[in-house]
Amino acid sequence: MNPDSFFKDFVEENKGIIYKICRVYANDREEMQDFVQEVTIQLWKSSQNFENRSKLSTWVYRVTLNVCLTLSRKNKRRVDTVGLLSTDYIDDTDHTEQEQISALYTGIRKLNDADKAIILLYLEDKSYQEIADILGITVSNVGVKITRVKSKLNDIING
Amino acid sequence: MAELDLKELWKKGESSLADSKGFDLDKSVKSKSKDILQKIKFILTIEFWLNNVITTSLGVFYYFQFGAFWGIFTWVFFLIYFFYYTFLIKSINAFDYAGEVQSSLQKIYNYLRFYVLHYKAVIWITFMILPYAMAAYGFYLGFTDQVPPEWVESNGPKFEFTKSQAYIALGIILVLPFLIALGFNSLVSMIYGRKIKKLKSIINGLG
Repeated sequence: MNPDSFFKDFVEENKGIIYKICRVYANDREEMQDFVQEVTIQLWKSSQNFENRSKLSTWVYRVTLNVCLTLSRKNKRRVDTVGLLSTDYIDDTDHTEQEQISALYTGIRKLNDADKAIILLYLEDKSYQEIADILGITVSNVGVKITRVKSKLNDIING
Repeated sequence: MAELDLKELWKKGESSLADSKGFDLDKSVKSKSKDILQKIKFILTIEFWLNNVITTSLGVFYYFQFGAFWGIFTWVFFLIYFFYYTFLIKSINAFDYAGEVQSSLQKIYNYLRFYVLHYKAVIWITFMILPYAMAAYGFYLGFTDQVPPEWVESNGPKFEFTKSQAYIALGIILVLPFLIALGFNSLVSMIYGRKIKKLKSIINGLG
């Protein structure tokens, strides 16, 4: 099983999406690497059946989110006590901004898994239609859920 | 924090992708999957090959040792299990994280639950109910003096139990099949139980 060059280039291009999602669902750095590894395996497996019925980016989000949602189950008890990953800090930003970004990540991690998926896609600037396609829900439901999760996230961040 | 700030902050957070440095795609794709379905598939594949080797060999042995009926009977069993394992393994292979994950997992969970249930039923029937039935039949023949003449004429060892030996034999006949069946039942639970429970908790979590 050797990934061909197209798949390699494809994963390289979408590495950012994969890491961002895994970072939100994983409890620590080691677990994040495990998630990324599993997502890559499943993307490779799923790529054999990919039939261009959806956009490539939709497919990547869908596979990555579904893998993270299923893997994060096994460590469910640890989620509420999660700390920050060292990767949440950014060297070239000022201290206040670092704190805000950390607060954002901490807030997202405190949401339940389904809400995390919604807010992730919202923050990624996905259209309601795309979010509906990725999560398998109706477009009208997307709007309602985003409003609810955003308010929940603001409550968590602002204490 | 205002709504716009959330997206702005998220974008700023994106630039810190230091964690993706040193990512080895080849190694990642070839590594062992932690997916629960892959673990179940691995066990099913081992059982599939054990069935292929052991049951077909037994079929040949029975054919020559006990006659065509028992040989063909064993091969029929082999074929049933061959297709059953193939079906289960194919169902797991067909699972795709880009598809309807919850309903596909639910389907696989139902198949596996039925499989384990059937496995346990076969264990209890083979290792407890059948031995009890055979022992009961033997007692019945003995008490009613209907022992087939070929058994009496056979050259095997012949002896009569004392009363205490008879009690011990009865105890063994009653307890041993139960313990063997219980042992195999626990083995199946150990192999599949936790994995199937984990699968169920994943499905519940996705709901």
